[in-house]
Order: sequence, then structure tokens, then C-alpha cells
Amino acid sequence: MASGSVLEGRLVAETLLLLLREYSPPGREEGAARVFMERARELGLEAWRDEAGSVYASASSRGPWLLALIGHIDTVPGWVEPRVSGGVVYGRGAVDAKGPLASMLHAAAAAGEGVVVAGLVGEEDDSRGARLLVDRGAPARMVIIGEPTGGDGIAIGYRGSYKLRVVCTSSGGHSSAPWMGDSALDKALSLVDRLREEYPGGSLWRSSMAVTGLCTPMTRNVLPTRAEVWLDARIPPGYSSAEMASKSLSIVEESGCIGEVADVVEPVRVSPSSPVPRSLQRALLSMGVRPRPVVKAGTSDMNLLAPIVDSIAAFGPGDPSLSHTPHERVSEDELEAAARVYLRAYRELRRVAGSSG
Amino acid sequence: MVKCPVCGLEVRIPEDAMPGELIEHDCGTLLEVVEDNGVLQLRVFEGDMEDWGE
Repeated sequence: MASGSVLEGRLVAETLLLLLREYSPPGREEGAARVFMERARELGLEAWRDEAGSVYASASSRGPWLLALIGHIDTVPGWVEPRVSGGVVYGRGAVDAKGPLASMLHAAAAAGEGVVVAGLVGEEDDSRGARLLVDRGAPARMVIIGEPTGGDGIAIGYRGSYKLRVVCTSSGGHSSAPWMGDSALDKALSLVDRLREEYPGGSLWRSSMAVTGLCTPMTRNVLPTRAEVWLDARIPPGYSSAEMASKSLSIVEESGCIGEVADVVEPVRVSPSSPVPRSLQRALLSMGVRPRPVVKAGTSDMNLLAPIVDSIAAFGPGDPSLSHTPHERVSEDELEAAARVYLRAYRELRRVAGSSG
Repeated sequence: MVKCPVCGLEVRIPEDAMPGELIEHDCGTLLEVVEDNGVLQLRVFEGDMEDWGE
């Protein structure tokens, strides 16, 4: 590896580029995991994997660790050619979330034994990496999640979510006389309207329901006898995803269709003055950056991990509006600044732990 | 101790607070630490917390 400060943006960008060259949609993280561990060892860290396939690195694999920097090694599907141009790194996951993960790895290399960094698998799918931690316990009681927040945002909240699958059936009929027949598709569309009335969205503070799939038998002159609809519900902090899921199932049943709920994730909201968000605030302020508390419309591994740790927040480099787009990019300066914020936040947590213990 | 500009109840500013730090009061108001002639005060944080994505 080239010489220089381990936090130097050019070096973090090198790490990011190596990670980006390994295409790693959920279930295919093997190559990126290998690169992560190789790079961690080049940085002087120990590296290992867990049963889910998630990768870890720290100056000491024994722990205990004061802080866990938890990112994810998978990306959404879709290849974007990795490259560096004019100090900017391009590629699938540059923003969400190999950029934050690269900055975390370099921060861990600078921090010493009190920090462990994790690249979880499956965050963009079933969160199987985070779910294993929920079963086994988090590697530390203080956690920073690596997701893009623009380098000044501190994510203190995420909406919850659940997936709803609906199947409507009917006796069908001839499409020349729909008023005489019985269309499963019409039932499904009416149900979607009803659900959207109940969950109108419009801002992240209101529950929303997005149709993500609709499937019927394709015959041009027959009223469909079966319609299957997939919906993605998002629930703001202060509400219960489980309760909302139960309510939407009741609406489905009232319509005469059959519903099935999966992947229920509760919303999360933490205080900006709790230890980890405060450490991030102070790290940013010490670098002359005004912290910006944010609540996210989406859902992340922070939702799953918040109940099992003492304090948590998400922070990372990169413009979050570029996530999941073909335009993902992050600059060397952003990567370096984020690595410095992670390191300073750790030192702040260590200062507070030392003064209270 | 200073008073919350919204609910009027007392708020403790940490001894090590930095200007610009944000404190959430029990009433739910987000307050920003500001320095006024060397004295730390609180004002209501003005900013939009809504953000897109994960």
C-alpha cells in the first residue's frame, strides 16, 4: 500500500476502488469480503468473518471494543463501472455504502484496539448480517452505522417498514362485458386505493404504501381470475410497524383478498444528545462543520441494531440522493473527512467513558 | 441551568458543551447551544430534519 497518513483521502479512495471492483449484490458478497479482509491486513488490522459471511477488522480481534463501526459490504444490483477521475470515485456502492465502509476501515486502522469495523452482508435484502448480530449480540455497546448522510448529517431516526403480499381471486368473465363479470384485478386495484387512503405518505412523518409489483394472467379478452400485488409500507418514528401491518391485513381481509406480511422492521428514533450522536456532533464541530440531525425516509440496519445497543446513530460520506442510482460518486475529500469524523467520535466516546468510569 | 425557550422548564447544558451542539429537551424541542458574551445559551434549532434514503 502507498505510504502516507492512513486517513489520507487518496488512500481511502484506493480502498474504495478495490471494493467497488468486486460486484457484490446481496448473496454475492464473497469477492468484496475477501478484498475487505486483504485491505484490512495491509492496514495492520486483524480480519475475520462470521457465520453469515459478514467481515470484521480491528487492531485486536479479541475485543472488548468501545465502538463498532458497522457498514455493509453488499450493494443494490446493477453494475456501474468503477473509476477515479479528478479525485472523485465512481461505481455501484460508492455512496451506498462502500464509501462509508472504506472510511470506517481507515478510521479503525488509526484508532487502535478500541474499535471494530464490520461490513455486514445482505443489508440491501434481508439484513441477514444484522439479524445474526441481533441473535448473537452486537460487537460493542456503542455503534455508528455507515450510511451516506452527506458528511454533515447525523441520522438519528429511520422509518420502519414491512412488506405486504396480497392475492385477490375472482370468477372472471368476458372483457366485453366487465359489468357482468368479476375481475380479480379490479378487486386488487380497489384494495390498493383503499390502502393508499389509509397510508397516504407525502412526507416521512406519515406512513406510506408503495406498490412494487402487480401480476395477473395475461389474456387480452378475459377478466383476470387472479391478481397478486406487492406493497412496501414505510412507518414513521412514533408508530409501530407491527400494529400497522396488522391493521393493513384487516383491510385486506375486508376486501375479500388474502394478505401476507413479511420483513417487519420497527422505526427507530434516538436523542441527538445521546452518547453516539453527541460524539458525532462534537467531532463535526471540532472540524468546523455544523452538524445536521436527520430522520431518514428509508430503513437501515440501525433499525434492527438500536434495540440491542446502548447508543447508535448513522453517519457517512456521500450524497444520499445518489444512492441506488447509476450516478453514485464520492470524492477523496469526503472520504477523508468522514474517516476523521469517525476517529474523532471514537476519541470523544473514549474521553467520556474515561471521565465517567 | 437555563430555561427551554419553548416550554419554560429548566434545561441542563453539559459543562463540556460546545457552541453548535444540539440538545433535545424532554418537551421534544431540539435546542442549539449558542455562545452569548462567553455564556452558553440555548435557542430553538431551525432546520429541516427530513432526509431521503437509507
